[in-house]
Amino acid sequence: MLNSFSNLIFKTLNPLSSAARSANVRCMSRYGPQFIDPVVDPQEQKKIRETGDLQTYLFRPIKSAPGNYTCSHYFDPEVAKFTNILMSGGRKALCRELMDKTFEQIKRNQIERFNKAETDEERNAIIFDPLIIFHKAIENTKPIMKLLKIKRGGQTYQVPYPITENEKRFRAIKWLIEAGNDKPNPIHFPQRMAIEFIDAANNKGSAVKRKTELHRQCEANRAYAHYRWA
Amino acid sequence: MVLQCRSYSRLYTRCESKVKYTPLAKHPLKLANRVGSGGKGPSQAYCLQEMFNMFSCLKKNEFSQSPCSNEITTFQTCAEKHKAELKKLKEDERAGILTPGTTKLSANQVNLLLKRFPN
Repeated sequence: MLNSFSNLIFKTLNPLSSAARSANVRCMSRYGPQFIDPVVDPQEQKKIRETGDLQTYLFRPIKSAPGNYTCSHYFDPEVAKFTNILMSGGRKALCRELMDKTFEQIKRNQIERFNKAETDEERNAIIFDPLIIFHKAIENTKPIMKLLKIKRGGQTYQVPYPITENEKRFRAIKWLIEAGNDKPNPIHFPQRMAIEFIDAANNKGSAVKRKTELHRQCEANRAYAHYRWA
Repeated sequence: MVLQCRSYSRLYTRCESKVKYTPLAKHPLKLANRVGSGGKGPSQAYCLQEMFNMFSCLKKNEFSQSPCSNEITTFQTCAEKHKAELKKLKEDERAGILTPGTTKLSANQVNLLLKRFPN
């Protein structure tokens, strides 16, 4: 009796129950489906103000921004992601420091290269902005596909699959970090990472090599592609 | 032997005369107006042609991506499109929305149709 009564109350008081299930919404989220994502980037905010989309945002409830996001001029979501993946044991302050040192080292390396360059062509080709190099490195190490193990008839096949944008980014960052960790011992992490970033931005280095190796494997296993489940 | 025949008469059809057919009033021999939620079979792999095109281009250019950017983008857009379509299909199935002209129906959709037109 009590059970059915509480069930009735739940059904009448919870307007989300059926709608949430049908729309594939996370039922235990602390935000309902009416909440919209926050816009943290100042340039995006400016764009919204200019295009007049602000009216749609006016009376909608908005989720709170992630804790590590700021609207600072120096904030970059990709760098924030990189530091989060680099972090171990919750030592984020250390990781942020390491990233800053890495960017400084990138600039130092590039200036050194600039001074060593002999022709004007070489000098003009050198990029000094570490953020541009960082983004370029990640873009160059993103894989196009992934390999998944699938068991068919007692045998496991490596089947090439398409990959989502988030997964691509994660793979690229992970490979870059592993490549940076793989250098000989007396060099410090920022120095190793700087070399790795510059190499990857120029489509060289072990992280990019790892990506092409994966592509080679995918190409070799293309005959198994029809084992894919939709 | 006789004793065995009596006790296992329902299991062994050798004693044919002993097996009786008794129709049950509770479950008449008639199809019900609903279907169970069966598992789906494997559907076909998608965007295969685009993938093969991409691979052949990559192999020709020794796995450098810049000359094959066209093939790569077509493959990726195809995969994304397929994923979005699948998601929409799944949501429609869950909500029980019927789109006219579809040949494959989910259990929910079949139940919805059977509810409208019971036999």
